[in-house]
Amino acid sequence: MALANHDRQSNRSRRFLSVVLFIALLGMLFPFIWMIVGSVSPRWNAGWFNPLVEKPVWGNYRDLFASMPFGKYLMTSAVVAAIVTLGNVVLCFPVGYALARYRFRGRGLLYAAAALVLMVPQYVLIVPMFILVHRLGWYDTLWALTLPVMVSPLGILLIKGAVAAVPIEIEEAARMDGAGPWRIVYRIVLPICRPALAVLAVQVFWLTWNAFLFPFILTDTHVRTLPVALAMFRGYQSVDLPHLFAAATLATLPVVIVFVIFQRQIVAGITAGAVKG
Amino acid sequence: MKSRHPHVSDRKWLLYLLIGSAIGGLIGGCSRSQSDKTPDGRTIIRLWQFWTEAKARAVIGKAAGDFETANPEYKVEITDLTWNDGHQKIVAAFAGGEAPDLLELGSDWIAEFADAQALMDLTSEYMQLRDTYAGWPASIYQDKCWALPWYLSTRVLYQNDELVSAIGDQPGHAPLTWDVLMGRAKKANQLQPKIFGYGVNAAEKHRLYKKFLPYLWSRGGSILTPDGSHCALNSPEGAAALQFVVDLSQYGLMEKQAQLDELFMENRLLYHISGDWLHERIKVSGSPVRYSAHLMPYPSVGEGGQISFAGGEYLTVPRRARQPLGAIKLARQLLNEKNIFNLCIATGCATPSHKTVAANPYFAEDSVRRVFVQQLEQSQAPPVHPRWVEIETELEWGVEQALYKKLTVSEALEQTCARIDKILAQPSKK
Amino acid sequence: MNTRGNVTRWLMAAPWVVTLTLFWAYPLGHALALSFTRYDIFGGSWEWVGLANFRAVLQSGAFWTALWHTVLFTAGTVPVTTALALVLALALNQRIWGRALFRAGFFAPTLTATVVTSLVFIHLYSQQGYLYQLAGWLGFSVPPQSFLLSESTALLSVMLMDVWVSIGYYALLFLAGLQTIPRELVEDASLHGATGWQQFRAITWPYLRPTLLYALVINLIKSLQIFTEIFVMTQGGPVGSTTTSVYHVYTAAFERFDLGYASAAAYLLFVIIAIVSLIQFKLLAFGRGAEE
Repeated sequence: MALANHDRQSNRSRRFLSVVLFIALLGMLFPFIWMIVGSVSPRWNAGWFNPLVEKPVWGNYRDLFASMPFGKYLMTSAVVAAIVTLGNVVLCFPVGYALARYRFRGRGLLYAAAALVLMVPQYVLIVPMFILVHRLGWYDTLWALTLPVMVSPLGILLIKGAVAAVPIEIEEAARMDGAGPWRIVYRIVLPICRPALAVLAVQVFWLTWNAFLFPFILTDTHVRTLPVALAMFRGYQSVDLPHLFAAATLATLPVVIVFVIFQRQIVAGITAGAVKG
Repeated sequence: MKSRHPHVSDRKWLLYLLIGSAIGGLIGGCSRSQSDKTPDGRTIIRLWQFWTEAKARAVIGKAAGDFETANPEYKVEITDLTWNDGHQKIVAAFAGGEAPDLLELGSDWIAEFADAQALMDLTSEYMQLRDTYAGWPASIYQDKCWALPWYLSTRVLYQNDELVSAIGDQPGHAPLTWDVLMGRAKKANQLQPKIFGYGVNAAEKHRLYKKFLPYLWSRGGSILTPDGSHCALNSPEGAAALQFVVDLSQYGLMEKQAQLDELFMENRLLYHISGDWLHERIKVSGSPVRYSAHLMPYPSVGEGGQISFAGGEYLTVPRRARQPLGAIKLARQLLNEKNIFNLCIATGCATPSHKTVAANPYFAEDSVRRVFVQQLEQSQAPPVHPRWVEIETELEWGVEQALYKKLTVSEALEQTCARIDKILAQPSKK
Repeated sequence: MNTRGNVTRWLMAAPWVVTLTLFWAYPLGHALALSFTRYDIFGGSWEWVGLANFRAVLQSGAFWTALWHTVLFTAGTVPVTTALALVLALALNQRIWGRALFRAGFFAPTLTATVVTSLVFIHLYSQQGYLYQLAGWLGFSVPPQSFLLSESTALLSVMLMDVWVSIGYYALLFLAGLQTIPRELVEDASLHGATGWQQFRAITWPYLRPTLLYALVINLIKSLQIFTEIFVMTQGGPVGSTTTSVYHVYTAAFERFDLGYASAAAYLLFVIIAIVSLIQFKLLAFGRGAEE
């Protein structure tokens, strides 16, 4: 009987929580909703309108593709984000592992360099980066947007922390069974660190998708990404809000959809096979 | 597994890294700058411009296409700069030695670039074009011309005639003097809490000063002394102008430009200094707002002038341009009647730089645009000084201090002048 | 085994070494060198001025004011974001209906481009905007102008927006951390009658701590470098009340074209960020290996 009461209570509290969350969600999403509504608004300031009275302007979306190669920008953003995310997940891991487990010469230096890149305001780096990219002949190419950020200091720090948290006994056990270092890294430690990798993937994807500064400076028309394209909607003295919102909606929705699809893997952080405690 | 000499090894790896980057630098040091020719042998002309919105951009693209057709030995490569972030790319380009061939610059930047020897002397072009175009003062520095006027803009006083009727005055009647303006604004402000008499621009860089200078200049004041060596704001004229704006603000609202435009269209703002884009916006959106545009008011009957702010976008040729002759040819193309007209139509500009285009019925037969053209003739450009942008920042600072009542008008002007004098006293940075 | 071990280690660290050498050493070095020079971007000439730029930065009132605003911003947003995100994560960790929807929904603001979010909020904060009207309706004393144009509320408004954007993201981070808690432990504890608070302290907290530390550090680093929102929404105004450190660097570099000063300020800022991060790390990372 006591257990049944307990269950009823948690059900009630859970339902209450649902309601509270829903209200909070509405509040959180309000600007976002406005952006979507504004994208088809017949008002020049993308304001609210009654869809039964004034017809939504779906043409705004058509305009996007008519006036610029929006599909190409979308594609470019997706490709760049995918490459950089994958690159980071694959390449940051060994680096983070090495920094966490091994003591070798120059370790402190590499660690400090990661901090340096992370903490120096990007704005002073764009001029030399621009020069470097030009000298390498990579201006307005995919190389410029992907290679410098394939191994991000953020990723290194995250992985290092994750690896450091893995009990050393696991590795010792594997080593005693005769496994080589690479095997240990990729077959044993990596699965345990999957949550951290998931976090890294999300973070890098999001940062790359939304990155403006370096893509703006280092590219022109050939490899333009969405944030740069969005910036073009701000006019001389006024902003073309409906079209900007349409572009922004298109820029955000695919990512949201991807996230919804993968959220179980991402958030659940598959930990099957890991040794607990 | 522990390193035996930690300090030494860190230094050793630092050395390795430096060597590595030096090698990397050397590889790049064989500076492989962008090629100047397309695969089919045409010479590339690089145009850097700011018109990125769809309609305007289409005009630029078409103009470039026409140029290529008329000059098949050239190919035009257009780099789009955004109004907000474009300067980052310009700085990066100049610092990196990758200057474009034809560069669009705002009127407030010309003197700085010219003073730094970054631009090519275009006086010969000026000699040929001086009678065809307007807007030259902003491009003349140290008796030479450095830029060609492409897109001019000025500010006029918009009046909401709905509200004018509401306060019992004649709609369409211009506010001829400051007193009339103040009186009407006061009455309108009292109509309803949500209705405002005057829109004061605040907290927006490169915008606020354009709403103050008309009053200063109409009153006969000036920013710098004629020889440009000292600040002249701290004068009776300057104080009168600033006091007037501060007084006006109590019968109005301080907001950003975009929000003021909106309020005006919603019949909630009686007077608003704005540009031609507002007129275009109202027409395009089909808003039923009744309004008229007027010249800046006289300070008082028969005294002072009706002077407004004039600025715009100009075409310059960087000194390090690789195709200066081609760039000038392209500039001529962009500046021809057809392209100026098309750009104006696409952007809603009311004051084309080409004099013949300005006489076109499209401008002359529209009551609002007519006022713009008229106002442009009585407008002034800010002093052409290499450190104008810094001076502008201080000017805006001072006006803001007075508007936010942090300083009295005289204190604000005094401190602003002190700051501007400090800027003027420093030798040129180059 | 030593040599082979060393090779393996360097091979593992190689991606970062290569990236550093090829892409970051030059920009970092160049910027550092610039901070000791007076550089003319148009003529390309530069002259060595030693510590003059650093002195100019430290002596400039604007730098310290900007730093103060940055500190205010960070102190205001980091704790609030973290706390709210934690609460949200705990809530989302429960088995409630529509969990997936909630997770996606709360994360959506983070996914929107900063520029767009800033523009939306400019409108929301203005006189005609809903937030302004909501505040008035709720009884707050609202300034006559938009929130962004009033000295007392401008920075707060930007901070609020930053919190709004970030909550979903950090909630996700914490959620991932919470998901690593073995379910048996939780069920075991409730069976033994442990209260929610006791469960939190004994079970949740140890698993959450590393994630929390990570979130705090990156939030701190990010907040100390806040720029885009300021750039779009207030341009450092009104009356300079929202000028932050990076904005100060930006105006020096791209409005005054003084790359030397800007680089010096940037490196000084780096030192400050590094010190603060280090302090935070030392304070919060009590004991390694305490995560079981």
